[in-house]
Parts: sequence; C-alpha cells; structure tokens
Amino acid sequence: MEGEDFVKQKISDKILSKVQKPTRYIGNEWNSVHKDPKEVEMRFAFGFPDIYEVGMSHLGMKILYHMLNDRQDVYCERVFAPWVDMEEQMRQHHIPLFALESGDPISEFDFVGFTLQYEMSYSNILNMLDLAGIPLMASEREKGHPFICAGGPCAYNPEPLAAFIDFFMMGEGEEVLNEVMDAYAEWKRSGGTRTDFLERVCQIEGVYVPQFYDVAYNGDGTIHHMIRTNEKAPEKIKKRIIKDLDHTYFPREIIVPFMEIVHDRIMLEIFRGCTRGCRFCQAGIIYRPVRERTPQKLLEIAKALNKATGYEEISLSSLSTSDYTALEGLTEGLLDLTEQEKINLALPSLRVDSFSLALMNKVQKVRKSGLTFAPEAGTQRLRDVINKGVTEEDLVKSVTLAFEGGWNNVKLYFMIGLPTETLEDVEGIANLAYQVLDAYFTVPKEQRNRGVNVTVSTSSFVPKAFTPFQWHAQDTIEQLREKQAHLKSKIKNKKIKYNWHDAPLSFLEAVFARGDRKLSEVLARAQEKGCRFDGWSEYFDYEKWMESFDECGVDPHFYTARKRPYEEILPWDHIDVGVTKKFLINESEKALRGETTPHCRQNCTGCGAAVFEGGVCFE
Amino acid sequence: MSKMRLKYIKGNEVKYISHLDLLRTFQRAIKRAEIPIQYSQGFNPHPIVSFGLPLPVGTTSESEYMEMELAADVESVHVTARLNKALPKGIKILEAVTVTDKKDKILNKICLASYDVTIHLKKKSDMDFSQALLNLTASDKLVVEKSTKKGIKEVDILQDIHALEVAAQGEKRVVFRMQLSAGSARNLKPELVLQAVEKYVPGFEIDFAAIHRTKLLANKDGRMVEPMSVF
Repeated sequence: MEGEDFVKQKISDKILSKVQKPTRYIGNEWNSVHKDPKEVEMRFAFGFPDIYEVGMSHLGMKILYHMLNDRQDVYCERVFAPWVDMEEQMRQHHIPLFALESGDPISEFDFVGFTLQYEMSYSNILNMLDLAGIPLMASEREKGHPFICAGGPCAYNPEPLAAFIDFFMMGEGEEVLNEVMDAYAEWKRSGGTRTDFLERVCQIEGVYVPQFYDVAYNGDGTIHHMIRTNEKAPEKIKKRIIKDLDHTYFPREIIVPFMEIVHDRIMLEIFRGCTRGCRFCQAGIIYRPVRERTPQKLLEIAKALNKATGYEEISLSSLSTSDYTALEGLTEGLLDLTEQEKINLALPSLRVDSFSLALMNKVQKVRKSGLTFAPEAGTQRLRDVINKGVTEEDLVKSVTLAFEGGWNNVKLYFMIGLPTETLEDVEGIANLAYQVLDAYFTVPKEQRNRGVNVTVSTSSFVPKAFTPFQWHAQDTIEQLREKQAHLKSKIKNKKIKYNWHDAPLSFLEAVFARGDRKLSEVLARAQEKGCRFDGWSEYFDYEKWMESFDECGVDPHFYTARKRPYEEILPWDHIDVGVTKKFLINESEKALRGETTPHCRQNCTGCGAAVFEGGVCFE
Repeated sequence: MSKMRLKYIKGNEVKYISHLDLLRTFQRAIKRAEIPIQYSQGFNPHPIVSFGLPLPVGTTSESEYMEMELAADVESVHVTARLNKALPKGIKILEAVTVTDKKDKILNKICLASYDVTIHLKKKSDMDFSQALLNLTASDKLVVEKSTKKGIKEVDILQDIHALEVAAQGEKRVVFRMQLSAGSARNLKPELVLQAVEKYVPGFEIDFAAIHRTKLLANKDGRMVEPMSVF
C-alpha cells in the first residue's frame, strides 16, 4: 500500500529551522515512492554522494529508483550527502544518516548503493558511511550491516575504493541490478553468510567483489600481479550493456522536486555511447558501442513524462546530440508536443550549422543566449593528437553563421596539459579566441547584434583509465599554472574573458582516476581529517589531502607525473570494457604521430566493442 | 475566460517549501490535473496564477488562497477534485469558487491574519500566561527590536496586535492565539510578538515555536471579510 501511513517527520523542526534549504531533507515529492517496509524483502538505499539538488539531477538514479520500486519485493529510497550545516546538526544531535522516503537510518537497509560520477565525490561516500554509523571498511562489516555497492563511470577503476565497497557493478545497471536483487532474495532465504552472498553475486556478469582479489606489488610500487583469493571469483569482470534501448526499462514517471535542482526538467536519453573517439575522453570508450533510441520511443516517453510530471521543460541527453541520426525527425515531433503543451524544448550544445541554427531559432524565441564550442586544443596539430575532428575553418565558419544569426555570446572550451602540448599550442588558444572575435567584425553591422563576448575556459587534462592517454603523465600543478598564466598574458582584449580550473583539484582528480588500492588508506585518513565536498571549491582542502598522503606514506605524484610503459600492469586491467588494450595502444601511438582516426560510422577500427553484439557495430 | 479562487491547506509535510517552490508546485499540479488554465501572452507563456499573502517558510496554514484564470468554464467542484489528486501530500484544496467580479482583487486587500502558535518552553513554568498577556496588551506600548535592511531598529508593535490570548497551557507547552495586522500596508510577524513576550515576561524562554495560520481576513469597502465569501 502506498500513502501517508509511512511518511513520518524525520528530523525535528528545531533542527530543520536552523539549516539552509530544509527541503533537501524532507522528501515527499510528487512521484516519490512510499512503501510499507514490512511488506518488502529488500531495502535499497540509492546513494548519491553529493547534495540533493545535484543528485536529483542525475538521470541514472531516476531510472534505477523507479525500476527497483517497480519490483514488489524491493523498496528503494534515496540518500544524499547532507550539506555541511546539516551534517553539523546531525553529528551534534547523534542523528544517523537517513533515507529520504521513510526517514529510517540507512544502516538498517539491505543495500546502500552509490553512483560514482566523479572522483572528487569519494570523500563524501566515506563521510556518508561514517554519518550512517556503518563501518567504512568492508572487512569490518558483519551480519546485519548493509552491503555497500557501487556503479557508474568511475567504477571502471574501482581500486581506490576497493577497501570500502563490498561489490561493484560494471556498466549499465538496468539488468545487473535486478539479477543482484534476485540473488539476494535467494541468499536471504538460505540464511548464508556475507561471504556466501558475495560468492553468489560475483558469478553474475559485471559484478566485481574486490575482497576476492589481492595485489602483489613490485619494489617500485607498480603492480606485479593480481591474485584471485577466491576461486569462485572470475579472472576478468566484463561490463554490462543494454543492447536495445527501445526495449529496456525507462520510467514513465519521475520525481518532481519541490526545490529547484540543477537539471530541473524532463531528460530524454536519446542514445548511449559516442562514435567520435576523442582520445582524452573516457565516456567515449566506456559506453561503447553507440546505441540509439528511436524517435518513436522517445516521443512516447516524452508524452508520458509530460503527463506524469507537469514539468515545463524537456531536454535531450547524450554525449554528442548532433550525432543522433534522427535528430531532425525527433525535434520536429518534440516541437509539436512542446507547442501543444506550452512547454519548452531545451537544446544541449549542438554542432553549429544551418540546421541547428534554424532549430535554435525555433526554440529560443527571444533570448539568444550563449553558444558553446569545444575545440579542446588551440592548434590543429594538437587537435589531431587528441582526435578532435574540428578545424579552425569549421570553427570560424560556425561562429560566423552564429554571429549572422544574431548570437553575440560565444563560449570556447579548451583543455591545457594535453599530451605533447607546447607553449605554442597554449598560445593557439588565444589565437583562436582572436579569430572568433575577428569573425564577428567581418559580419556587417546591420546583420550582427551589438556587443560581442568571447569566453575562453580551460580545464586541466586529467588522464583517465580506459583511454588512449591512460599511460601518459599529467602536467604538474606548477606546469599547469605556468600555462594558465601564459595564456592569460596572451589575452589582452577586454571582449575576451578567460576562466581556468583550479590546478590542485585536477591533480587530486588525476591521482584517484588512475589510482590503486593503496589509496583506500589515504581516503580514510582524509575523511578522518574532515575532507568532504572536495568538488566544492569552498570546502576543498588541499593541505589536508597532502597531509593524508604523507601520513600514509603514499606519493601522489607516483600516479600523476609518471609515464607508464605499455607493459605495466594497470590497476584496472582485470576489468573488461570491450574495447581492447591493443586498440588503446594503437590510438596512443597514432596520437603521438598526430594521426587521426575516423569515427565509427565512417569506418570501423575494430576497437573491440563489437563483442557486445549491438548498436552501431551492427548497423 | 473565467477566474477561480481556491482555499487550501499548507500542511506539515510541505511547510519548508518556499513561496517560489509552492508557485511551481501549483503550476505543475495544474498541468497534471489537466485544468484548462489560461496562459499569459508573449514568447514565454506561463499559466496565470496568483497567491494571497505569502506564508513564511516553516509555517503551516489552513487558510491559504490562490486564484487562477481559466481558458474554459469548469465546475469548481471538479477543479477541487482534480487538483487534489495531482497535488503532493500536505497541500489540499478545501474549496473553490468562480469569481465573477474579476476587478475586485480581494487577495491584495488582506489585512488581518490569525495564528495559533504552539510554544515549547525551555523550562517548566506554572506562571499564569493569560494574565501576563493581558498585562502586556494593556500597556501603552510594546517595543521590540526588529532587524531591517538598514540595521536593527526599535518598533512599537502594540497597535498591530488585534488579539492575543492563551488557548491552552501545559507544563512546558503553551499555545497562543493571536490576530495581527497582515498585508502590504501593515504587517506584523508572530515571531516579533513572541520576542516581545520573551522580553517582558520573566521566565518565559522559548525552545521552539510552531506557527500555524488559521485565518486571513480582507478589507472590502471597510468590512472585514473571509476571501471565499466574496465572488
């Protein structure tokens, strides 16, 4: 039975009246699911290691929350990281971390599952476990404690979290999560031990139980080999994908939060994967192969969600929306729907051409907000190295079209610190910005809008696992800062604005992106020292992190500054994403030679993803 | 095109939702309920709804009001029933009326608000709070410190207290019933009344106070009326 009988006030008014945005902690939103805990077999706390308005914007959580709750035997609830003011109140008043729907402590649940979207949320995971009163270490958890599991893009290098997580799920969750629930129900009836359950789930394809493996290291700290300590555990863990997106679960209702969240709209996931093969991009590899939903299916979902939510906006979600093969038909159908329902269609950044400009004109009837371009590197040479198929000519042509169409606000995204980058490449970023500015002035005055703004943003390159650049060194903080300063000195025009990312944060991200099991201890130490919300600049405490490395005798530069030989055993080598190491090495070599690789639809390069027997590989 | 006025409850479950969040919640519920709402003209059409006196965050109420413009005639009972099915727990429409005099913006003429304030005291007290309140309201002024944008200033709140009495009293708990000026011309928050009581009544220390709005009255040509009675 659903209804108010199971809704209770979780936190006293005295506390809620003291914190910012108390709506983060009250739940009860439209379409949230409430069940009687006594009538289910399993309770699952879906954890997002960041605050409510960030976590609630995550599409994967929306899908899996409703999917799990569609099962009669499971009650899935949500749990987010409380903001620092709430954490203070909870610690002061000994309130354990609770799930939003029932208000019950998550320590009483069967599962707590975290989604790993970015490395800088790891400290929040530990802090949430600590707030819940759940032992951080998997080895210290006993009968009665929940199983702590994790999935999401960062799970592909699970090793830094190996000590804390009972099991990881590799790849897309729609199928594997259901199989895990079934296995749990069976195990529970059998009355087995924790190890019995873990032995059972590790038989499910895609499930990785780190405690069934051990690592032997060489004297220099690199990995000698991985040892299986439980013969039931597989040697390689192969990721899971959904072959056919039209025939997999997608919710027909989603939660409508009271407060404004980051992505406060209906999100239509039009495809998974990306055909492009940019060499720095982890998502472009780990989500292979590309699989599309048909426009018919998407329109059906859009209509259902519009009815069920009353949302005023629909957006499209994918890694590269312009590559959707039926974009024109889909947007036509969606525009009909949005006009009829008097709601907006929000467009993601599209490759600028006459089609997309016409589309944007139809959609954004009044304000021509900024257009975003991501050349990623400043020179053609470096763009070839990273396999970013954009030329200077493309960019100038696109921005000219945009300026002629009345846009006057252009954002350009770049990365600094890419492999083989020289100061000339960095200066190339400034040159491109000036060329964009020049393009504006070539448009006749009566045709363009007044007042041009060009914003240049640079992030710092972080080498990621399962990319062709996984063997490359990251620039040091000093090098990155020098490059930022150099670029700043080259941008003198007031119409060009330059923003850059904080280098120490990119450094730490790089440590964990390619880290090994030795980092678990560092993470635990950092949490003890109070590190959390590292992704929030006001709470990122670099000094505390450096102390933690120091006290654990771990050198963070071992993970960032070192160029790894291809023969080295990498911490994530036992994970199989389909794309082969051979392909990645070949791509890495081509990068150094400045050779590009065509995208999947132009020419198959045999990356290995065809092993999943679906998507673009078989179109 | 017609106009409808609705009276609703904002209950415990939704008391922390801000006025802006509430507005969005209603707009979405109206859409889910498929009520033929009138949209504004222009490039960014939005449903036309308006609210009475905003309720402060943390306060509950059994007498909130909103108005909406409809593009087609609908029976008020149907609107109530359909909206109640589409609203989250804690918000409930009590009644709806079709407003014929569309120029009479009664929700802009609210001038009195009644509250029940349940106060949890820090210490047990056997003081006669009824007498203490009588003494307070019988004095010739009641000055409290009010923080404004320009800083803290002293204000006399007595003339904005139209009624103040004890509705119930226990050992550590007392319920005040009060009627205060409300609206755009003169407005007094119940918190300031509590502040005055804390200041002038010794031994009265508040641990936590739960404020509940029970009634709003509007000034229609000099007469105090309940907003639903005018249409």
